Amino acid sequence: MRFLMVDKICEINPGKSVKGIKNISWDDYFLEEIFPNIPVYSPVIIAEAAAQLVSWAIIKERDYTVKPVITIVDTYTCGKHIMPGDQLQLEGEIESFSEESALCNGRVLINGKIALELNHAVCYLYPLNELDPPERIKTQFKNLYSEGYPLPKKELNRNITFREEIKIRKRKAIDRFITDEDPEKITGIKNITSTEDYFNDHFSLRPILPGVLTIEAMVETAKKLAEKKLIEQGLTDLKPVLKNCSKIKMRRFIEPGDQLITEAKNTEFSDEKSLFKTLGTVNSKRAATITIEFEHLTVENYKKAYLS
Amino acid sequence: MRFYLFDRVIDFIPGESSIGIKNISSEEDFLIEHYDRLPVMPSPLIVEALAQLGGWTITTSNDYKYLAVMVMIKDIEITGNAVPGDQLTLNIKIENINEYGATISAEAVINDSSILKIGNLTYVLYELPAKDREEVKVKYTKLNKMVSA
Repeated sequence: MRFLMVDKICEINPGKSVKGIKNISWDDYFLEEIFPNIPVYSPVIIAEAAAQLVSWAIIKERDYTVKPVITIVDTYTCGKHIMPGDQLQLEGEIESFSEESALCNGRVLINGKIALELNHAVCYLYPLNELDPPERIKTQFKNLYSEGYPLPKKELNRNITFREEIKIRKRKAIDRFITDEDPEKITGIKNITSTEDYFNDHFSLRPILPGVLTIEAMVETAKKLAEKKLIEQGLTDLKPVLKNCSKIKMRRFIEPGDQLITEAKNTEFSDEKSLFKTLGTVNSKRAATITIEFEHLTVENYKKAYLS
Repeated sequence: MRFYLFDRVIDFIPGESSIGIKNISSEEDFLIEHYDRLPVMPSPLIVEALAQLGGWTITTSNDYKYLAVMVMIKDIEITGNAVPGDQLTLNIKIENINEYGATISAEAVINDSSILKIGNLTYVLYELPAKDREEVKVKYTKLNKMVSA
């Protein structure tokens, strides 16, 4: 597996904006099932596609001397969910630049509708030669960029029925859950290890856990508690579906050998939605904080809202 | 999957011993088939993790002049399992070292209880060409994080 989420760059104005394509196949590593037998691409991980696309506009502007690493995201909103076979249109804009950081926005579109929106993401500009050999990144860009390549058409039939025998590999973002005495709290453990394939590309000279995987771990912890509470209240046909993440703050790099401890605290819960505050720590030091909102949906409502 | 079976070195005394860490995560490729319903890290891979750290310890101790290649293992005792969420502590002790070879003893520990012990691991040392030494040094130094255990 490679951790390269942009398949093609179609238009690029260095330092300003960029457009590209990402195709989703059955071989993708980050497929998951929110409802049984409906495989979708992880709504958290797809943000990486938008982030990687924007990073090209920054890398080109700074002539392969820096690599952006996302540290703060204001809001991160999910619209449509993505299925294997979909072709996504990626868009990114840079609002402002400074010597050490950049402020940008990113979007993922499916059939002209927004699948995911990243608003006001602050990237720290890290020296490229400490993360990846610049030559390797230059070659990657050469392979990705085709000027004037047509962006995905808007009318793509998404009315798909899945064959039952298709099985996807179930990933686990959290290795172990620890239930708290307080029923509104839950703790999870995620072990970070060098064998993971995404460390080949993130980054080749220095392995760092991709930010989206930190967010995924926090979302998964909160989701576990939301599912538990729904079952306790007898609402077994409802499932928590990620609606948005806000106030995302990444405070340090997480590396192989680290143990990420995630804590989720429920602050609001109703039949329709739930709200969580999460905190991730490494060696008792703050690594990330996120506020997460889920909406609770039945399978029919989920199909109408996210898969139409 | 990348074949790096230890994640960092937390203690190292050149020519004597080292302590390393291997984190076990649910996403490891070897857990897909081993086993579907009961994920357990295969014991031969724990042996490999100890052997990799043993090689690191020997090569780093002799200042990257020689690369250590494992040739013989004796006395393996398996007393426990490692499952996702566990953090394996890998203890390496160099028993004997000269310019031709080295022997070590090793132990894998979870939460202070030993799960796998190796009485004797023998390595042969190959001289590294001078031009490759710097590359190996850079790669090996990165694994040495020396954070407090």
